[in-house]
Amino acid sequence: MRRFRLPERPDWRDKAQAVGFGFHEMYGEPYWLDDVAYAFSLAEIEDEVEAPSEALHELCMAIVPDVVGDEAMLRRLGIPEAYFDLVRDSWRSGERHLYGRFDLAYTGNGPAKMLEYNADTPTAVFESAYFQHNWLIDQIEAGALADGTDQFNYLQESLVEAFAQFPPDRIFHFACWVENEEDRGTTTYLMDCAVQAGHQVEMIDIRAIGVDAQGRFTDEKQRTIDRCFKLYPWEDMLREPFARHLKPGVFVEPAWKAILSNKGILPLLWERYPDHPNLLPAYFADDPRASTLPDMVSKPIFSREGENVTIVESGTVTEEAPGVYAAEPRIVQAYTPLFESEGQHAVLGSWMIGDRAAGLGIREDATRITRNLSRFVPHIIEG
Amino acid sequence: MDQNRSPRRFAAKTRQRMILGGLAATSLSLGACSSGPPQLQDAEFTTVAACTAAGFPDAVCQAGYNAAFIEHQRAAPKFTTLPNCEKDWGTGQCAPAPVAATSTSTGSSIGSIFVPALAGFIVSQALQKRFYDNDDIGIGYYGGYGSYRGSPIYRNRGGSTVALDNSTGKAIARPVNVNTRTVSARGFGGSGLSRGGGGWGG
Repeated sequence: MRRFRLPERPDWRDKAQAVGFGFHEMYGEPYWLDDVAYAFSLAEIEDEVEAPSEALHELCMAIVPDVVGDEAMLRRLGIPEAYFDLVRDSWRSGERHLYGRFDLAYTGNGPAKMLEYNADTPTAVFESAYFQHNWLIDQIEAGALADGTDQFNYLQESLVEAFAQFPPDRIFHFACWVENEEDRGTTTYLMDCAVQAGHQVEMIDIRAIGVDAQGRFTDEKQRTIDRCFKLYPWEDMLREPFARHLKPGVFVEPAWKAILSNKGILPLLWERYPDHPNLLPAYFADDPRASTLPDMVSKPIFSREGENVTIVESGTVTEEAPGVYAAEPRIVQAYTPLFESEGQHAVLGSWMIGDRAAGLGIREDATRITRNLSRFVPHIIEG
Repeated sequence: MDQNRSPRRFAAKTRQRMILGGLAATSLSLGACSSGPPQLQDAEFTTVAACTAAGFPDAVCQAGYNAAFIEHQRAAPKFTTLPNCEKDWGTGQCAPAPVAATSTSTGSSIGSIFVPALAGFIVSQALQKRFYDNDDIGIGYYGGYGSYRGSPIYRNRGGSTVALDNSTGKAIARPVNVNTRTVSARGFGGSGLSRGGGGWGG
């Protein structure tokens, strides 16, 4: 693994604009980097990213039935008691899931370590699947990259395939916070994949979802919402007024993903698979063993975009991200270094589409906590 | 490339550049609100009352139902026994076939042919256009619909609503969400406000 520079595509901003990728700049800072990339060998991708991701996903899937069958664990993960049955039924009825993204720490030396599983509302899928791929083709054609250069990326075809697993027998609604450009972009891209899989789609703002007299979810055109992708966290949905109308079979991701997207899954995995090469020691913050970790990262169980994540080294807080999750229960995880080059810290986002590892997207940050100002950097596999 | 590794390629070799399905390219950057004249859209209902309650004129709702019923008589999948019909469409989802309409649109039964029960109807764009262009549906209640063909809605084994494919006459599932009336909204999204709106990326 190495980080290298290459000439940027002179027209990449126009290309971004042409496909509506307006969020290549966010909060006034560049988000997409066109003139930097990470390079891997095929062995690194196959042995250190692809295979471990699928193995980790299997471990995660194996732990879900234990959690849904154990009320103490559901409570520990902050699932409201009134919705234990929802989560349980969602899992036991075999509700299909669409995608997720492992965040991995990998330095090129030793196995990749799972930092967390964004199994509910992962973003950066458009950048990973589409824009990154076209960057590769452009750079090969421009002669900046060798002819045989590859990329770990069969995300778009996998997404279309995954959407095709849902029968196209009803409108597929897509709910998000429409005013947020990044969320809307991610959602629109997924709608596009669903259209390619034969679905009739409709976007709806998460706040515009209604219910009818029978307690069925409805859209603004007075139609029932029978199947709905949502870019909105389960932990929030389960605490909002319409939670009482939830039943299995409507939302994608399904309710059981509330278990895997929860950082409480990290201590549960470590408890069950101690010394697994791709796992880091992790404990609930109130576990006496938590204090045995010399250097650790403390995370709220529900945090998004690195909020309220704290790094503690030799008992001292050395890095801290602000946020709105300060009051949530926490877990601690052994600290592990990220790949670092030119002052940038890289986190590997390894995508799972269904149960298969299907691609990679890398984000880097000047700090060791990847958050909403991190940048997306394309990658290649050297031929 | 590693000498011992079989060659493998992730990014498709033949594909030049990724193609978007057409939706993202035009609307990734647009908000949910589109400008321009309102578009007519197919609307699906379970009853005429639900149709009028949703704001469609009585004549449009009644014509939509009648056209669907006639099409139902003509083209509903037919079975010689109730169990055979229920095998395909689910228990309790079948009924004796109605006789072709003579004096009543509800029909009477023959008894020897079974069809899936009519669960609703589509008020199609074409039907709406006819009404709004002519200020009249311009078609009779019973027959006389000319080339216009109604669209019945059925409920399949899984309980989802489906329509028949008009061009083939075959019972092919088509996305149909039954129209209803929203009694309450804004029950999701409250937590978003406290966080400044969106940005759920993990």
